[in-house]
Amino acid sequence: MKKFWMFSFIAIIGLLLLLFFTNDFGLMDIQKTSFIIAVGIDKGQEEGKFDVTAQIAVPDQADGVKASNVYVDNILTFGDAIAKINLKTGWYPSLVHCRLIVLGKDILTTNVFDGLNYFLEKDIVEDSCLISTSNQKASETLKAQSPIGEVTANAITKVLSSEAQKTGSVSVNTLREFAKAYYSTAKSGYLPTLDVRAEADNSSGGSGSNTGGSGNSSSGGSGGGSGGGSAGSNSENSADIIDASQTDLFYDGKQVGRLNSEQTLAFNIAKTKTHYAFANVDAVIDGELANYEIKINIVKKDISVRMENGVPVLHFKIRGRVSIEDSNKSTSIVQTAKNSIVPDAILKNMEDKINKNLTEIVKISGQTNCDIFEVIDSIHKRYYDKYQAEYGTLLQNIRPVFDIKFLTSH
Amino acid sequence: MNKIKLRQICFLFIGMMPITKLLMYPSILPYYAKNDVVLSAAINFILQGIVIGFVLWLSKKTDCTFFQLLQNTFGKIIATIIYIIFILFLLFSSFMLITEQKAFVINTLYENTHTYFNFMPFFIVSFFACSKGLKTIGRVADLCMPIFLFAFIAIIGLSLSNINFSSILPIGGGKLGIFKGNLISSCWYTDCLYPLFFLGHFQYEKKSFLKIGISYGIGAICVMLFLAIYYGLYGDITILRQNSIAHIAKFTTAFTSIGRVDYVFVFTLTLVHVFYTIVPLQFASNGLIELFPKCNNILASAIINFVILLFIWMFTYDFSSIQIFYSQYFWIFASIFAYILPICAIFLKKERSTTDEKVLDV
Repeated sequence: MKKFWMFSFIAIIGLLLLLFFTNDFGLMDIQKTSFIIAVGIDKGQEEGKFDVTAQIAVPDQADGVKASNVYVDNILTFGDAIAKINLKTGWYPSLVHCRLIVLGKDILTTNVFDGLNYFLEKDIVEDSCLISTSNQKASETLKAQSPIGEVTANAITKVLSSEAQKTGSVSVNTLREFAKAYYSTAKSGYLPTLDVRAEADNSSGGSGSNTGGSGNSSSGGSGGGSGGGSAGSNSENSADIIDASQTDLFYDGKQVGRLNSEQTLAFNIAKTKTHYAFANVDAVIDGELANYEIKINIVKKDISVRMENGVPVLHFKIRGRVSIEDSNKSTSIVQTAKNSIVPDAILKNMEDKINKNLTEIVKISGQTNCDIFEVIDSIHKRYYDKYQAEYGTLLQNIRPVFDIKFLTSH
Repeated sequence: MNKIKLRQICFLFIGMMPITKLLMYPSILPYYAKNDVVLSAAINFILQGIVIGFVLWLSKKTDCTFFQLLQNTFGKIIATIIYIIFILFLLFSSFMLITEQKAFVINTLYENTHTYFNFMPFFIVSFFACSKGLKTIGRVADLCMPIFLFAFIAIIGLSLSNINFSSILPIGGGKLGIFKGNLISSCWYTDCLYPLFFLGHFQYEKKSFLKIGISYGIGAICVMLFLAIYYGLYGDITILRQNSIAHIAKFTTAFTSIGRVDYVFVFTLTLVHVFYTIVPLQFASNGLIELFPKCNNILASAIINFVILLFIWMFTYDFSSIQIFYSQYFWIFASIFAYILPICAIFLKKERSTTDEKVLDV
């Protein structure tokens, strides 16, 4: 009897192993699978349709990684775009390595979640995937030429990296955070705005891996069309600068406003994971007006909302240590040495500057209904009755109170 | 072969009970309870705690097994019918948990393996465990408790940077949804039935009530902590993020350079989940042997596992339908068999059995 059970056990194990190994160890066929590393979504020519740009990474033995853009026009859903890419290229695209979603400027006036829902529902893209808007069409943005010859998607993700967030120059956001904010009580959110400008002169010619030109986009009418082109190409001796220092504000999935660079910096200093901010400030020192580049080490930040006399009061508390990095006036060696102790005028002006920019943001927030400081969410959580009674006017009635104090680092 | 120690029951509540509530439950509960996930879960745990309290009181008064109590009260035929219904309920409740784990394994760990056969190894483990009687539950609990705690603490530790407990505010905002959440989640709260099947197999000791109460409380706190963290991480999009243990720690910054280390702990917790989903099958298998003493362990185990395997195969592509069915109707069965009847068990005749052998070695 024991032998029978032993034999049965071995037979079952053998059968299971056989079945397990029938699928090529679960490996994907690299010849049939393409890896999308970035996706651009633009408004289609027809109402309610999208143009999708997929930047596909192509491993290259000689040059590392190259990338090509594939375009699909006038599709109703992103799932349809995936099928079209498969139809046109023979590759079945995988989105597991997609690290960037770019929303073109035209699509921002509609609810961007019409296009983004696919990524949320299917859970096929990592929730940490970066997301941004663009001042151009997304298809144009994903053709930008990196000054150092990088693949465009990689160049953009560096601009939107957590390091950039730490310096305060960019308000980085991820798919998860943006979706979470959209589905919250306030239906608000923000995204960094990419602005591609042909400014840098790349006389050295960049990397040899980048060849070719722009994509051959072809309109496919209602049935959808597709085209292709290299990404991050460098056929001409020019390169693009990718600037993400502005921030788009969203309410109910639509873009409703924009923060300029200085407002973005102030927002980051007050709200996001910015630890070392770099800023410019004018100050009169020893009777001479000069512009100073300073580094602010944020040691404490806190935003709290309290209902005071029936009015929502937004308290900002920021503490920072400041050091001077540079100035636009040459000074004596003694004065340069003195600057290790930051003059009060610079500290005061920087405090005022942040104060002014945050006041402007609060005003924009009220005008656009974009709850960028999560005031509505805070009131919903802590003053539920007040939230129910005054929902709709809360953002307009906010009174900001600032407690900003910068001290010299030395 | 069916003795179990009080310590092992305590470990079962600390280190195994929470695990079934960490896969799909954290993403399904907010659908109704909104941000009141912790409150809704707390109500479920309190209700379960009350049932466990009654059964413990019963265990103090008698050393009979549940089947013997039924026999004492209703006679053999009715007791057999009632016991068979309980066995069917155990299979019914375990089917959802096993299907859930199958879905988790397919969606998260082995996406490209064969759909019909990828879950077969589960039944090899289950068959073996069921054939070894209730003592294996205790032994597995001894092993799983430290493993679970280690993996759980690690996974919570990795998600620390994203913890936002304010997300569960305002408390009570979910209103009636909180109670709806209690009903739809009943398939994850049948643990209170298990002590009834331990009756007669463990010795009530001094302070048993306190020891089991504390252990149960620790298990409940683990679940509620997980729910609060998970809801804080995803907010209103939590309902789109199933397979929670695979999603909770993935935003740790260090992973960008070293990869998804959390999968080590995800695998560990999955292993604990395997053993806990087998527990009701072990009770069912043991129940068959109690009912039909001529039925040996291997045959009983084979019958129980074959029935479940058959259903798993039949519903291979119907996980969503199963989820919907259980969330809508299972509470009716759960409230009767896991809550009302176990409490009613205190009214059964508590005649003591004549020999220890009769009680402990069924």
